[in-house]
Amino acid sequence: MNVLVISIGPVQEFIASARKCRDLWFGSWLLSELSRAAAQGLVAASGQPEDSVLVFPGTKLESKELHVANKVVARVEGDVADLARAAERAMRERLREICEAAFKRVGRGVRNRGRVFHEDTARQQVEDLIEFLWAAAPEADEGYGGARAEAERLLAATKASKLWAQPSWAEHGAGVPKSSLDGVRESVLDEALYDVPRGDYDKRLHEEVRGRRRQFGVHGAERLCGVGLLKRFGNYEDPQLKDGTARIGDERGYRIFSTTHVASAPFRAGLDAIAGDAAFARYLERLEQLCDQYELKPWELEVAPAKDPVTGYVDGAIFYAGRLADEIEEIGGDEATVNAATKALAAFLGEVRQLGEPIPYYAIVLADGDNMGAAINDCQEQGRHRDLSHALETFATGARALVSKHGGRLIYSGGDDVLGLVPLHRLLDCVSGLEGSFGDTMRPYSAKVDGERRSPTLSVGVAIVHALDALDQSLELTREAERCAKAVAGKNGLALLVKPRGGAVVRVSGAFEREHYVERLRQLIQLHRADLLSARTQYELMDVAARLVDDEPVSAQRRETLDQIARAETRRLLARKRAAHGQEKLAEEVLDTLEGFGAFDDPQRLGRELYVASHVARALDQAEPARAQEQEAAQ
Amino acid sequence: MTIHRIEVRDPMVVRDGRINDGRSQSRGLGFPPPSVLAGVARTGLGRRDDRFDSTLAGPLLQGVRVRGPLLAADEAKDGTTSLFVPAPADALITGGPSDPSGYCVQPLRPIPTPAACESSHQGILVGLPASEMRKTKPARSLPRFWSWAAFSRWLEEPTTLEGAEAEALLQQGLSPLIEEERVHVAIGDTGTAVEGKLFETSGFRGRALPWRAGAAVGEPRRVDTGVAVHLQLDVEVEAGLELPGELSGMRPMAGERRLTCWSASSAGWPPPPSGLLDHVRANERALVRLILLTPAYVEHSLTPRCLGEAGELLAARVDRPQTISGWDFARRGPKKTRRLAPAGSVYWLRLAGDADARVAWVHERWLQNIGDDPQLRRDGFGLAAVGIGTEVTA
Repeated sequence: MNVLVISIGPVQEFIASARKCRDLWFGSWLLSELSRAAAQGLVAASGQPEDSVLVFPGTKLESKELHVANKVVARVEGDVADLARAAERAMRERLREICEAAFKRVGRGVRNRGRVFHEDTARQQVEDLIEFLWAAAPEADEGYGGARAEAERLLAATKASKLWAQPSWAEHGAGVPKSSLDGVRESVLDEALYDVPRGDYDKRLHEEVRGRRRQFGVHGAERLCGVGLLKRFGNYEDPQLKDGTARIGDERGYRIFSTTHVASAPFRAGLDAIAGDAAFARYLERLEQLCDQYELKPWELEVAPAKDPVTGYVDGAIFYAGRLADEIEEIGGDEATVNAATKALAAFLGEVRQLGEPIPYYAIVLADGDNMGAAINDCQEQGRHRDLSHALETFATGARALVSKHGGRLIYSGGDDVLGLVPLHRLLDCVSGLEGSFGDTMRPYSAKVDGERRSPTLSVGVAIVHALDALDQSLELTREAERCAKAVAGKNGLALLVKPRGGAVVRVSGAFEREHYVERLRQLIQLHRADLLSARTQYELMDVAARLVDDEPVSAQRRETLDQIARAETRRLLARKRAAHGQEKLAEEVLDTLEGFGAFDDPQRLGRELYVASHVARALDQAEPARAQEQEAAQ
Repeated sequence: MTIHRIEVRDPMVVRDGRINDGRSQSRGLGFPPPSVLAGVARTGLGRRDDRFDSTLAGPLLQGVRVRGPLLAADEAKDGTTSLFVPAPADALITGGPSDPSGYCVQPLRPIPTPAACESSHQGILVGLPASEMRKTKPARSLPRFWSWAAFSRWLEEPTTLEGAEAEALLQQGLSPLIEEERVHVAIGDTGTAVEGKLFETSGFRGRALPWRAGAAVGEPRRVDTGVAVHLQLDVEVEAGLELPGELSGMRPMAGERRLTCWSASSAGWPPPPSGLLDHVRANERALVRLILLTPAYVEHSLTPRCLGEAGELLAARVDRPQTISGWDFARRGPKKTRRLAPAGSVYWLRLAGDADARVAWVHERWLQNIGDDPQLRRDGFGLAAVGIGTEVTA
């Protein structure tokens, strides 16, 4: 008997090359689908039942709701190389199927499609995309556990020597622009498609060219390679979206959601709370009048994944002037239409002014299990490892429901990894729910770590980013957040990064359980919501330490002196702070709370936490306007 | 050989291959590819009466060869200059501040596939023997650049370092160059900002933070702190080629035409370590490592043509390719996609010939450009250093 470990990649680069949420979601769906196909191919070639071959993922490959991680662990008999090749064939066959179906939709019905879409090059680019690596070791004296460890060691060695060559599809690539998603492959859409530059309102030209561009799934001056088109036109059916699937039949392209839709969730919740249905209906009616002449409507360009009580399936992008103007321009709207639509939006926002401007920030959440390697290594029997796989699948399925429950959208949940977009007003509920669920599910699987037995815990990185920021860069920040969470001593960390538009990133981190970090943040949010602190306090606290930072290692004596100065300065600035819009002195209890939170020991950390908390507090105020007013009245 | 010192005055915007249509789509690279600096050097040397003499384009491409860039920093104490190089990919670093045993640096090396084991890889693998495997994962947030002192030791002694010794090596390193983002607005016909037309550029500054264990937790530090760094580039003009321009002075470079200051430097680059030369001289079929200091163009990642003649190519530690395209000034359009073995990649070679031939081989490759395309070699791709190689035998 052999233990076979298969790895399918690339993961991070492939998923992260995304401009739209659809690209992001499809990238992770595709990898899962290919891993599933490889696992199914392996099982079929082995001639054995699924549950006697597969260790990870567990069984139930037929379940489309199960995301399959990019790694397969199996116990097989016979010629391992043959079996691995069968798995690879099945994976590549599935890739071709998906590619075939996707490319059929590209430029459908467009005259001279073949001249505008260089399909052969696109296919070569897709064929060249996926790497399939494997390693196998026989079960000898050390049994399953020893063989798995040896196979993992060899797989790591295989990954160290990446096999690639100069791409044949790039031979005629001189003069051809590169993909807008990642810049690493030539565009396969002919430049003839871009005759009319973006922003040109000439009606004579725009309708035909822009209409054609839409058939190729590109926006403005965007260029796409074969892989980009695969992401844009791949899988129209999302099994998770029972409501959404009904809207697929129109062949326009199934959009899943936009980052602005997630960001607009607090605003939409606020609309519901103030019964803003009528105002919204009037706004939508006005937009319909303005866009009546166009084949497509801007609010149909993106389709919300779930029905909102007030806005239905309309995408939240229409609440943001910049996005609204972009969409109208793209469907061929002229400057007058753009201006009129922007005015309609302003009028609508005026009607619901108690909510304020829709918040343009949202959160990307990336969670990963801690000490999973130790827990897996502890499984010396295949059955135990498979039980662990099942437990992870239980968590992954629950994670999907949990993220949806909090108004977010899961991008990926496989193994111990979760990636999702979450609106700010539900962020802390969502991350603490994920952390709790993981802890409960993994409790039976402890392993020896640093001399004591520990069950795996979850670390969560969160990036709070602007909805218009480039998605790949936002994802990179999310990965940085996850690294920060993993750097928390003893892990089980939560790290949040806020990237304000045009400003420096602010980072905070702490431990879920040991520091009760979510509760700590909730209390800081409450200070903001109750207006018990001035808005400047957080900046001044951050500044205290920034002025005393020394990058070079300093002596203990100098450090102590700097800390004393920081404490004295913090006392001075808090003593002159005022609350309630400058009307009142800072309450003693608030000072005590801040001291309890370490204002004097680490003012910079507290300042940063207050800054992060202020973003969430604003979202909560927008989502719960009545509560915000009550609190103001109570003041 | 003339080493030029290049100081970055404004944040340098060096973009990837994505088209830049005024939105925040294209992104900045954290370090300039050699071809960008080769282009600036050739443009400077080809200027006649304040204009670029386009009749010199061909001779400049053929006759001006660059090596580098290498990162360098002036020591505050004595004004000497230290070089920094990309972290070598054969150094596996595990552990970290939260690990009771701290960091551990281990040399990856060619390993045989054990009997009865199989893998998708046909050649010799690069990894660790089972007896040296640690249970901890590879460390994250490591120095992007190693000091020359640490690197030179790694070339001569690729051995396991643990705890304080490992951390001391890492602490000589630098984190990535500090990036600075700027927000720009589009200016409309009336000379005022156009509503909603904001875009950001991200550029690297001429400063880098010294690497510190655990700094990745994200404690922000003052933007103006860190070490002032500059780039060093060797520019060599073919004998007999007369060029009208010169390189010293302020030169615009890359996106947004941000300014750099060029000056000739008296610094030289280090010679091959003596331990390496002794090893090569003493060992018949000596095993050496060729480590890339700038990305190299190779037709096939694991079997570059350019290394075929030297001896037996045993194994390679190469990551996924780094992709470049660039802008072709002659054709006024983007160049085709080319894949590069990233800086830090390592090739293990067994040298052939007698002792003198082996030593000569090292001198011929030491801090010279290698690669399968002669023009890309002239453009600075494939700068390589040589170190002692070790392997695990069955």
